[in-house]
Amino acid sequence: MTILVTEPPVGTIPHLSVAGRFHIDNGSLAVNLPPDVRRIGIIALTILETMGKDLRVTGGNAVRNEEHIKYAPIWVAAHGLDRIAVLNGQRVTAAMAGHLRTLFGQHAQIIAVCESGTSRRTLRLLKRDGAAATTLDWDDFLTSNPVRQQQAPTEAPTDGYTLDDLPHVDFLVFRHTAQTITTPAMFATIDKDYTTAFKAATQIEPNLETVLDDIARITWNAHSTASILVTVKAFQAALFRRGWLLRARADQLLGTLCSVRHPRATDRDWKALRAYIRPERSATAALFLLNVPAADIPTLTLKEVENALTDGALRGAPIPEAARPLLIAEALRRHAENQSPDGPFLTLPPGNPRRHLEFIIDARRDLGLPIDGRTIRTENDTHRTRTLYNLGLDLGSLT
Amino acid sequence: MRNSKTAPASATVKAGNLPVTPENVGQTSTLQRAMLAFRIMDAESDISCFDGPAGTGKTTASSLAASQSNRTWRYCTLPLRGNPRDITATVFEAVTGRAARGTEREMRAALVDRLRDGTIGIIADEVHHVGLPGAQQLRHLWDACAVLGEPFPLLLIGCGVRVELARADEVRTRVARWVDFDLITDDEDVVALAGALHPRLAATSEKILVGINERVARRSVRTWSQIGKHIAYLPTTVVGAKKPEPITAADVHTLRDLLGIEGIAA
Repeated sequence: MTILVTEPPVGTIPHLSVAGRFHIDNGSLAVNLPPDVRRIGIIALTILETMGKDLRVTGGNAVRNEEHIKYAPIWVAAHGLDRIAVLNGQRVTAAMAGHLRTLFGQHAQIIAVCESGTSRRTLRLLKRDGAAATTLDWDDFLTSNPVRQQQAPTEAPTDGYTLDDLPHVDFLVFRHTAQTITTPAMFATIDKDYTTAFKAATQIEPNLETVLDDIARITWNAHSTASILVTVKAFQAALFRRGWLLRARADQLLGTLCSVRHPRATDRDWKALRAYIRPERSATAALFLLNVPAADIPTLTLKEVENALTDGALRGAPIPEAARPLLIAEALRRHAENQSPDGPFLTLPPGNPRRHLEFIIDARRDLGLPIDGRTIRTENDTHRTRTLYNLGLDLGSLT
Repeated sequence: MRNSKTAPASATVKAGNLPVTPENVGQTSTLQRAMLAFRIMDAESDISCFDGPAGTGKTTASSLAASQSNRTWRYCTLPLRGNPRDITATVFEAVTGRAARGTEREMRAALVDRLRDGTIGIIADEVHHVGLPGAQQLRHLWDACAVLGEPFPLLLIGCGVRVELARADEVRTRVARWVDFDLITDDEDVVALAGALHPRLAATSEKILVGINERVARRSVRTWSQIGKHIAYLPTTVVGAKKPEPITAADVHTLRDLLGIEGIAA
């Protein structure tokens, strides 16, 4: 494939002109070549860094160039990069052009963006040394690579109300007080959660284990502690009506319930996972954030994950767009290792069956992901309920 | 950390802090041009260069301009014949206030993360210590932020920078404006500079000041600054005098001796 060579008019700084036109989410990348870069390993590392790989996270390094050369094409393919602008293009030699082609693949369009007044010389040297290169007009370059529209940041989902909107009263008068202190629209939202929980509580077995399980089930998808509190109040009221007193220390209960929530990854969290060079680290943390129990992660097969990528959902959990490259990269790596479809999706180092847990904990520490370390190693549900029990939820008969 | 205009001279100078600005700085035409260039650089987040021989007030001008800016400015003196890691480590320490650690790439990544938020500007002094490779290094750091659409203001200070960068167009053309500092030769500049340094100099005639500039200060802003400090300690200087006395020939002799200036007497 031919490398395109372009340059801006005199007085234009190419880096400023390119800003905003190339983005990894757009299938394109602007690589800023450092001074004196020549070898393929350094070029691979530069590409990885441009893709958001961070050398400061666990496993990050600047010296294992073989690893960089191995993983750069995998990540390029995982992100579907097909338009590449190489800044400081005047430094690109025929050998470097070959390296770029190796790393970006045969189908990517590579544009060497030179400093003003240097493109002709660059083109001449590339051709002299046998590289296929041709000129690209600057205006055509700008037209074919328009400035990417900034996406408005997505707001985190909420329950529609917060703790500040709820009354600080006992469960007996909770619903009535909520109606008097909030707007009708907000009360409707609160009351919807309240009545759902109330109805559930009227039908359950009045024993502590069942109550705990049901509270955990109903509040599983809660976005804030406010709706958890509403559920507890509703359970108290419903059980009271049935002749049972449910006592709870609300602050501790909320803390515990929140600690056993499944992680709610945001767009920021998925993008943070791009920091890892090694695909297995990103993929392991991504699977956990996709609600796969930690114990099941090593048993997932390559075929299962690839089917999930085709279907857009893994075990019922939709795979966000930003999470797809993280899984695709590991799948590509496994294919490169000639892994059969029925083989495990992740390659974990031998001798440590809990290595995937360490990956998850590392990701939490390195990237600040919403993962509660206390529950990662939990492999049975009774432990969770025991935690709740220990916090002093108490159910007693009034008759 | 904020600009340290009022920091006492005895305070420990931490990495990144601006040099202490003299209390009185004469408003020479070069200083005014430098202040204007600095303000434009601050607003446009681009690269400027103060170029000129030692002792011509480049660092003082940058420090004075930075102290009047709302941005946080970090100052660093580039290491003599520094390699790429040394240069990045120097800038890293100035910007973060922490000891350099890790590889050059790790520090550069941390710097890009910090600088791209647009609240910090860098003053890199003694660019001639690192030559063209060092300037390339700084330019690459600026480019790394620029390609993300978030460049930061960068002031290069040095001696003979223009000549050095003439060998690399891609660096020279990054510098949006140049301010050439030179020895003080203009009589009006001499009067403005001396007048700001001490009341006795302000009371001295232009002819004598021009003579001092030629024979004692040797047209150097730095030496003028030394002269201003020493006048306060001369036996003929009366502390709190309502009407300051002009500098006499005897005073000039004393100053010349104290400053170790050899040659013809004033």
